[in-house]
Amino acid sequence: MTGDPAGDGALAGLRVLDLGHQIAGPYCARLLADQGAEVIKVERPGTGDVSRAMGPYAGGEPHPEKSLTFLYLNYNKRSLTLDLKKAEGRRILLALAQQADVLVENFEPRVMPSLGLDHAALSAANPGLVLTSISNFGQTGPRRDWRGNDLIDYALSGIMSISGTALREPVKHGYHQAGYVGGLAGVIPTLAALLMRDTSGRGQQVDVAIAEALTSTLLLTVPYYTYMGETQTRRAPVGDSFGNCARARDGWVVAHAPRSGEWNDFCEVVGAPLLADPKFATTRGKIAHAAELDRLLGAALAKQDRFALFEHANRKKILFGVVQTPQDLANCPQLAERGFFHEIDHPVAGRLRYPGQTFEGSEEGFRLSRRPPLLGEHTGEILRGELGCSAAEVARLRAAGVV
Amino acid sequence: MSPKDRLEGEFACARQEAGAMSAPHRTERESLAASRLGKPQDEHARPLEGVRVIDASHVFAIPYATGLLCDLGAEVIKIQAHTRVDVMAAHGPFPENAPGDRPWDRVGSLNTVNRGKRGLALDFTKPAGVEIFRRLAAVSDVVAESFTPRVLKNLGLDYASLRALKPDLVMLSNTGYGHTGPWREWGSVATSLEATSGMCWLSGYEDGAPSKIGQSYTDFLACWSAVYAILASLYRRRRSGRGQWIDLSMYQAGAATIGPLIMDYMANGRIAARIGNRHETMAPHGVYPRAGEDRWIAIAVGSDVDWQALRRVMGDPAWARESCFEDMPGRLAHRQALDRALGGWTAGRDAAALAALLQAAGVMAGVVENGRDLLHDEQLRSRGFFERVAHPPQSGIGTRRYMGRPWRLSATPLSIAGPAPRLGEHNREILTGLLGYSPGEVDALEHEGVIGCEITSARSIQPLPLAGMRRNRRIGAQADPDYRDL
Repeated sequence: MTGDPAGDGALAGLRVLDLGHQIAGPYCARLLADQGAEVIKVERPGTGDVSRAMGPYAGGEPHPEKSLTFLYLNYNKRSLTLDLKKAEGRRILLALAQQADVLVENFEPRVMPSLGLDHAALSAANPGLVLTSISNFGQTGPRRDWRGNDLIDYALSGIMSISGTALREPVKHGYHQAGYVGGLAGVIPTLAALLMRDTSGRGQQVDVAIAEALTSTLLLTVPYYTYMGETQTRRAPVGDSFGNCARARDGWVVAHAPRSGEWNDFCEVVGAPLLADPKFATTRGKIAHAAELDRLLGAALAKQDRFALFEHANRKKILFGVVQTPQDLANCPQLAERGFFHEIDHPVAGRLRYPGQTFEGSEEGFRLSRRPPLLGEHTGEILRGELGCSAAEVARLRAAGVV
Repeated sequence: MSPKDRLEGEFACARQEAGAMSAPHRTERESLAASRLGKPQDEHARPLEGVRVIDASHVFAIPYATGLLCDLGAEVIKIQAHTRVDVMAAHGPFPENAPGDRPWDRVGSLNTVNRGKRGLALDFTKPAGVEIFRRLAAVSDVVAESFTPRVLKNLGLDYASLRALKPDLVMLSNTGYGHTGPWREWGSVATSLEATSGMCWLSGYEDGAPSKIGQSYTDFLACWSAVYAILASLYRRRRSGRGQWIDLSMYQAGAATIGPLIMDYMANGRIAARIGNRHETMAPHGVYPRAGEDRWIAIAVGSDVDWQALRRVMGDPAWARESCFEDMPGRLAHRQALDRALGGWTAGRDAAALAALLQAAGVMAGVVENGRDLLHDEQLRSRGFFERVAHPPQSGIGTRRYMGRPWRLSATPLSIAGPAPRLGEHNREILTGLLGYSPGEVDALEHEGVIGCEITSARSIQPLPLAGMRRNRRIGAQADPDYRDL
């Protein structure tokens, strides 16, 4: 594994405590780590981050060091185990917080106060600390203490009401999108609070609501109501030719309504000469002859290989999408050329390829500095290095089950 | 005087003019200097006070990103073309569904993302337009754009060119697939990227086709990634004095959110499938009908303890006592029967009351809210998620509610800085005040069509065909009469 040839990262020198679990908190902290922040992941002794028990696993069999979810979300970090329910565990956390710039957590809002680690306590230990709290519904309001997960976030966010078809039940986006959205949205106010600290000298609490982040994507649904009083619903499955997933011979593609003047090129690319009739060329014509258009286009697409079609259309400058599976992504030449995947050796999970950055920086960008940590791998190192504990002290803390 | 010093000098002059022209406004350097000198800080100071951003982008992703920068205190100048209309404009929605004389100023989605910006309408395919862009970049901290890679390079407005004018510039370029690689010149919109990035494959009904998702969903992943990249670069610039270019790929922003599933294929050869609302280790886990037309409640039972709680709330009916439902493996195995029975119990009940009842018992539950529900939601209301923004009288838009931000800063109150600009609203003020053009020169630029404030080709934009949309169930059976009174 090689580090990025650039410097130490845009966030070099920033110290982050990651008390996150599952997806949102750890993803937020990893995005900081990817830009050079030094992240200490604080895990529960024994079991660690619950994502260690989330599949899929490298090799298929459940193992706390082989969870692909954990491995993906926690590279570039060190791991310390700490029992926050013990007074001594709390004391160690406060000592670490004194040296940190950011603490990221995504417990339910009642948890940190119940551990004596609310914003007031952390701020007393370190007034410059930025406390990033990510939760389903936020740290305030009548739903503050409601329990939630991906499904509940999607339901309350409004997105499900427009997802799926009118004939069936609402359906959420696939996989655990809400957690990733929460982590990504959470980085923004965290960095904003750090920039604010440059002028004010003080940290503050950042309160991120995952369901609100999902709602933020409804750039039509919300103004449909505030501009017209209309409520968007799930669409009826008619006039689906464009902008939806359609069958190709060997999978699925997405055809887009071509720009004006491109209709004949489009018909040539999809191999549908019967469509090259002026009656289909206008928007009005497409609506008037929707059923015939659906049938002719569907039949043409179904004869074509999806990647050949995707490439042919794009080379002709016609917008076109291909429905890729995880396998397609793993084998994608574009991602390979962009250096999106990084091979990392891990003593238990073995050598695996990991997805990486979403952007490149000309001077400082994504950097891979550490493999994912084993549970508590750096406990001794951090206690001795960061907190100046003696070897005997570390042994005592271990024996007492604090670490 | 070195070229760099000269640029800095020009920079300072331009800043002074900007200060004389607009609201009191401290440059980033002045803000930092003041804090280092221990001068008292304005308690309403915002994180990006003194940062000037050029937004040369369209549709949603980067406009939304720069809109968020504006909320954080940046001065954002929106460069729009008056030679063609944003592709989203025809999609509306328009106030009271009336596009009016200036439909491009009346689009609800675009007015959400462009809030608080100043507007410059510029044809920068003309040499004089390119010159204006260059002069703007020379006095700005951030340029964010979303053209296909060749466009700005051909115009001499790429990072290498602009950096010569402003050495510490942070520039972000957002494209579908990135500026390198075999797909770099390929066009894309969110609907094609949802597909290529793997999300369509994973979304939709378990027994149905892959499905497009949300409203340009990958635009928002790119939006947040862009703000993350820009803020990290500004953080570094404050410490190192160095800017940089950011090459953001929406495709990668999407693929990053399914990382473990790509790894599952690479490590295990397994291709993850769509599972709809189902969960691999929880049952019940789905949406269930409730009283009313198209009304649903989501319920997720994460453990046997949760199941016992749900049984108590239901009054422990006979079906729920069946042994096959007793533990999680049993419930997962008999999921369909379980869903049918639970749906029979929820149907006809009031969902809001039911969700509160289930949550009080510790069961994860929530109403499937629609657009109307969101604007009446007590949680969002108590957190001030929607903000009222007053548009100027001549726009005819009035005061509307807009989505703010999905986060709060405890010591830094933030709000939307103002309405989206009307096309070209600040042409004259920016050119004379910030860039030092004379009024006569601005007149000439207007005459030559380098700047403008109307899109003559877009006058024909029509109202949305609401009756047809209602028939096709794109919108609900009737409009709410009191949507502006809340």
